[in-house]
Amino acid sequence: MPYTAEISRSNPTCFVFLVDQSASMSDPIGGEVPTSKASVVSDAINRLLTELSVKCAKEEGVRDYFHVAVVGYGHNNVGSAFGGALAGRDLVPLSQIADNPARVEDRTKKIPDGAGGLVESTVRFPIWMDPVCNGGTPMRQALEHAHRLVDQWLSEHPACFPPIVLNLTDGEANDGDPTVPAAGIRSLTSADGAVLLFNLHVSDAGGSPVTFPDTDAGLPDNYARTLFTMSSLLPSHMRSYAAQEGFTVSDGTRGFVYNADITSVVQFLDIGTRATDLR
Amino acid sequence: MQPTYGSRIPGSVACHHLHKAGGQAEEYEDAYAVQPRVSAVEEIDIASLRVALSDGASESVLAGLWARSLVDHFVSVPPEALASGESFGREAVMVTRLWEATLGDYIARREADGRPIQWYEQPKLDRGAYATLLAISFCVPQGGDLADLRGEGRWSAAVIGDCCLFQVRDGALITAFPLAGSEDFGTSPDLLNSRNQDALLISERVAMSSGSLRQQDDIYLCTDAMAAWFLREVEHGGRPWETLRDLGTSDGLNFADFISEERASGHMRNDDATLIHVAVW
Repeated sequence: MPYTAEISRSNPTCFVFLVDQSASMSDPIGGEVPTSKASVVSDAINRLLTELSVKCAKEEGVRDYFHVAVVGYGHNNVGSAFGGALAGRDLVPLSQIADNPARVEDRTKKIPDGAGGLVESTVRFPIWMDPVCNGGTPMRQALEHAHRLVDQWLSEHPACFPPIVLNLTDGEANDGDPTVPAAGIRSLTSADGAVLLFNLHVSDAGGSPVTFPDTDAGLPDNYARTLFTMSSLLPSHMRSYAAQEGFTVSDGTRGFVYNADITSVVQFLDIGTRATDLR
Repeated sequence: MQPTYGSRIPGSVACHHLHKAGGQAEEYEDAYAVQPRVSAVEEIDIASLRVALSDGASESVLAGLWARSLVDHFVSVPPEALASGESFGREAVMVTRLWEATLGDYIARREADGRPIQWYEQPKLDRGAYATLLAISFCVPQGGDLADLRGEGRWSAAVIGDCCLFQVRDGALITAFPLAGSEDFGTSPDLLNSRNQDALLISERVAMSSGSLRQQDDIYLCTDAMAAWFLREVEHGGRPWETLRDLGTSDGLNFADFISEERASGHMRNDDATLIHVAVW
C-alpha cells in the first residue's frame, strides 16, 4: 500500500519548499492590518520549519526524520532562501535547521487566560528567511529545480516515504506553463508512492479562504484554478488527519490551500505514536 | 515470599525487550516493572505478582521517563486500584503530581550539564509526556487452592491504550484484551498525559477486565507492535504463543534475533518491542 513507509532516521524523507519572491509578492493582502504577500509566505515557511522541528524534537535534539530545502524564486533566479548559517544550502538535515535559525524573535501572542479573556504572552519565533520581493516569477524554473533535488534524493533513498514539494506563491508564473514541470514532479516515485506536490496560494483576488478543496468551483481566478490542478490528491491517511482537524474531505481532496494556514500539513505526517490527549 | 491470599500459584515470569531498529538502546521508550523482582528461572508465587507495562509515545519528549514513572507506581498500588475506574484514575493522577518533581529535576540537570532546554523542546515539555499503560495483578480468592484444582486464581487488568494481554489455555487463545484484531492498532491510541489531572476522564477511558487462572495457563503482555504481530499470526491460523513461550530458553529463539527477523520480513512494525510472559506451572 502506498504512503505507508516508515519515516525514521534510517529511512528519512525530504521536504522541498518553493517560495515565490517576485515583485508582485510586495502587494498587500487582507485583514485589519494589511500585510505583504511576501510576509505572509515567509511567516508560513518559518512556522512550517518551527512545527517540523518541534514535531521531531526529542531529549537529545531534533531527529533527522526529514531533510529540508527552502528554495526562493524571483529576480529571474532560483536558489536557496535560507538566511544565516544555512545560506546557500539546498537539502539540509532537520537537526541543523533547528539549531541554525538566522535569528530568534520574541513575539507577543494573545492566549486564553482561563477565565474567558485573553492575555498577552511572549513566544519565541525562529526566523530562517525574511520576506523578499524582486523581479519576475520563474515558477517553471523553480519546479524544475525541485524536480532535480527530489530526483537526486530518490536515487539515494529509493524506499523513502514520498518526498513533499510545497510551493508558496501568488500564482503569477511568467516563465511559461508551470503545469508541465508540476506533472513531472508528481510522476517521480519512491517504492512507497508518487512524490506529493502541494500549493499554498496567497492572493489579493479576494474570495473566501479555502483549505484542501476537492473542486476548483469556488476559486476566484485562473491562477488559483491552475495551482489547484497542479496539486496532488491527498493520500488517504492524510485525508483522515485533515478530517480529524475539521476539514471536509473526499476522494478528490487536493493538497491546495487558498489564503489560509497550511501549517497543519506537518501534522499529516506520521513519525510514530502521536501525542494526543484523552477525549 | 508470602502469598497474598493464603494460597500459592507456582509459576514464573520472563521479560524481554528490544529497542527500535535504527535507534540506540537508550532510546527505548517502553517501560515495564514486575513486583516482586524475579529472575526468569526462579519459581515465584504468582498470587503475589504485579506487572505494569507502558509504551511512551514517540512524538512526545521524556516519554520513556514518564512510562517508567507510571509502571513503577502501578506495580506498587494495592490490587483494589485495578478493580474500578475511579481508583485507577486516582492512582494515575497521583503519578502526574509526582511527575512535576521529576520534570524539575530533569530541567535542572540539563542546565547543570550545559544543555539548557532548547526552543524546539519547550512546546513539547509544556504539553507533557504521553504513554499507554497496562497494569495487571493476580490473586487466589480466599478459600481457593489452585494446586489441587479445587479453586482458580484470578487476574485483574486495567489499560489505557494499546498494550495488550493475551491468555492461552489448553493450546488456545482465550483472552485478547483490550484489542482483538490486528487492524485495531493505529498511531493515535489513548494515552496518559503527565499533565492530565482529570481523574474522571481517565476513569471513563480506562478499560478493565479480569479472568480466571489455571495450572498451565500462559499470559503474554505486549506493547503494540508485538501485540499486532501476535494477533495477525492468530488471524492467519498461527499459534504465536508457541514461539513466544520458549523465547530465551535453550528450546527457543533469542528474543532480539526473533524480533529482528520479523521486522526484516515486514511481519512486525519497527517499534520498541516488549514482551512479558507469565507462566503458571
